[in-house]
Amino acid sequence: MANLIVIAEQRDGEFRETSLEAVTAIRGIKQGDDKLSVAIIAADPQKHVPALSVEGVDEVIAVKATDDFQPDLLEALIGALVKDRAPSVVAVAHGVDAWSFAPTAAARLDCGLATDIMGLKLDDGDLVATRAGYAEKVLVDIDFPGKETVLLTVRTNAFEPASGSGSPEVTEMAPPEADVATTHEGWKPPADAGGIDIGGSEFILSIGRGVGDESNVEQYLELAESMGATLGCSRPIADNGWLPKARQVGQSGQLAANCKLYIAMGVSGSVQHQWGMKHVENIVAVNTDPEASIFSIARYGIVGDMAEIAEELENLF
Amino acid sequence: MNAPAAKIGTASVTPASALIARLVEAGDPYAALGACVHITDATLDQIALATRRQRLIVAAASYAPPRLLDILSQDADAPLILRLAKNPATPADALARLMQGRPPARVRRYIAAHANAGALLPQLSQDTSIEVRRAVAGNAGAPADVIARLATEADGPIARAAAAAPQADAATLEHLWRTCDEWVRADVVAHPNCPPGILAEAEAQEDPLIRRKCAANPAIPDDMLMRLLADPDEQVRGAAVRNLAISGDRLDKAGDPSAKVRRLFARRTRLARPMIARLAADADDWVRRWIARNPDVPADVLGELAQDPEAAVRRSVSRNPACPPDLLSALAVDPQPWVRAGVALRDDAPDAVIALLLDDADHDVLGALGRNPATPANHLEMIARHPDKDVRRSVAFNPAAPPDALGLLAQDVYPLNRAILAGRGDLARALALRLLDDPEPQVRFAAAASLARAAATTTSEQQ
Repeated sequence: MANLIVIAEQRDGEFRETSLEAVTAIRGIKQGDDKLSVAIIAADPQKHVPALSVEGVDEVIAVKATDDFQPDLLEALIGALVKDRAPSVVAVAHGVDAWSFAPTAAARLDCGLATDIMGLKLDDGDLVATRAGYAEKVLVDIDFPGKETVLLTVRTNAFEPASGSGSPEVTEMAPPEADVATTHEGWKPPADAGGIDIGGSEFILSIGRGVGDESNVEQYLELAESMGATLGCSRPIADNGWLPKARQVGQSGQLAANCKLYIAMGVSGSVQHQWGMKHVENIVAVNTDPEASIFSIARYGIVGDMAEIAEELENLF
Repeated sequence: MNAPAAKIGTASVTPASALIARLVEAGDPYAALGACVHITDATLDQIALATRRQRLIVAAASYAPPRLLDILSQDADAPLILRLAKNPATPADALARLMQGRPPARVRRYIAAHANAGALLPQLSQDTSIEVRRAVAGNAGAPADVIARLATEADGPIARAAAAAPQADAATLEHLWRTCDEWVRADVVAHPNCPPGILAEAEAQEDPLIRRKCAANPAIPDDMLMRLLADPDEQVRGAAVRNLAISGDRLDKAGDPSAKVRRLFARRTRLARPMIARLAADADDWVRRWIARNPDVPADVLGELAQDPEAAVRRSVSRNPACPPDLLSALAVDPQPWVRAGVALRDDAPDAVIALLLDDADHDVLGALGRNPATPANHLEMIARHPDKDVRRSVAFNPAAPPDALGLLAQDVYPLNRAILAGRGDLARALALRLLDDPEPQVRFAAAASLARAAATTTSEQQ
């Protein structure tokens, strides 16, 4: 029997759905009498038990402490769980929170570590995690020879959130002693995006420098609406003040996390822009420059004038 | 008290010789390449092309000076040849040199599509590779006789390219109209050189695609265009409305039943006053959004649109160049940040409006103020210190940014902000010299280019 543990997250008292994606990832390698436990630290951990009572979860470990984000406390929790239960895997959702405690915990505990994983399997009984390498150009399979415990951070939107009802036992656990070095100053919510949801949109029509002038932008807003898409843009368009920052896709903008179809019109495809969208399964690129970088990641490419293509699309929708 | 706005005069220009000496001493290939764009110096050329990696970078760089690309073409191996053939800046002589080396079909195809390949096109149009001939047909510089010869080939992609070729003559278009499918015929009737007889045939076609393309032809006879404006198909009417051959004041005075067509009316200039009023009261939000941007809309109508319940319409008013100051003042207190951001971009906004917006916390508003030349210098310094890197960067785009604010950006922790600063055409010499030592290659490149541009301009003026 192996112990498998997921560290669930809450933010300012609100449960984070990404924790259920990590549960799905771990559930996929659960075998026979393996035990899947989910631990959560919160001011009122019991209130999160219903959200964690999903199919495949055998135990919820409720640690009553604080709703504030305390990376040292989370690191200490992982340390305590590894010491007491010797789990084969500890998983947490990948993100800025995990960055601040997962790698240090792995280093201190001499665990195996793979971050931002998008696949997980057992190969002849050995754990193999898949993650991207070389700026997302290749997929890398990672194994962990000689490691009794492996710590994983699980990429958002790579796994479906765990669902189905379960009836896990609930274990209350005292918060471990931790040398807390951070002070929680308060929670500042992200700026209001005015209803623009690049991260949640499944269909994004994005425009870049090729749009030429502010007076042309309105045409693409109209086109996006008629096509049922969310209009996104590259950095120069937001820098010019032609579209709000909330529509910018890329490293200094938004991640098109849920996008399934991304039409890039007049976008050259800088590395920074690709950061926000190159994972999308269906990318359609329209550009007059056949050498534009965007074509290297596009499933379909059109070498042509984006205004002409837009006009044709306007006739169809 | 702030220093006066940065004015980078020739008094503070580094002489070309001193700049070259410094760059040669540094031996930085990126800075040397930046300088090479504006200064011709053999030693700098050597530094810029010193390594294999650097030669590959230059061969693919569209900003590279033709001189360097010509040098590279003189001793190019296969990877360099491919990059040079694809580079839009490669000069005609270099392309001709590449052709002398009997390159493979893939390279010939890129040369055939190249904008500087004019003299090579007759030869390439007889290439054995169909891909190369297709590229010639798609080259906007291909002469009429070459297009005519290619159009006789029974090849779909060549036919489509020939029908859209700017130099295609009437006889070629006639041939394509008689022999090709509806997609090629559609391109034929959209071509400005399409013979009138074919346009008349096209107008009578049942296929709305053909009539739509006919309505889009910029050389269409006036009476035919007026008839197509009343076509039963909304897409055909829409194409006719887009056609700039008809003046806005002659467009449908009775209105169009299709909102899609009315949206296109609203985009046109020189509309008659009654039509403007009707479009401004249209039930379709997009019609009002478009007309609110129209610079021909009088102030009283803009005033009504500025109170529209749709925030996007009010944003359009804020971006209308004809929007009067009193309306900008009203829109500056709009509850929607994107409307206020539209006002914040206006360099003709009254001082009181700018002052009001400076208290705004929205990042789009602050970013717009950062790039607005009307924003007071001391406030630009504050914006250049903003915690958000995107807000800070906006100051780098402001032509009136004071030296102190630009100095802050030169120390910005975000490399892109320094790179954009370094790319300013009026960068102060002291800042440019400081950025020559930046850890980011693109910053050093842009700083060297800025210094070299100033030195070259001064040399040119002195001569």
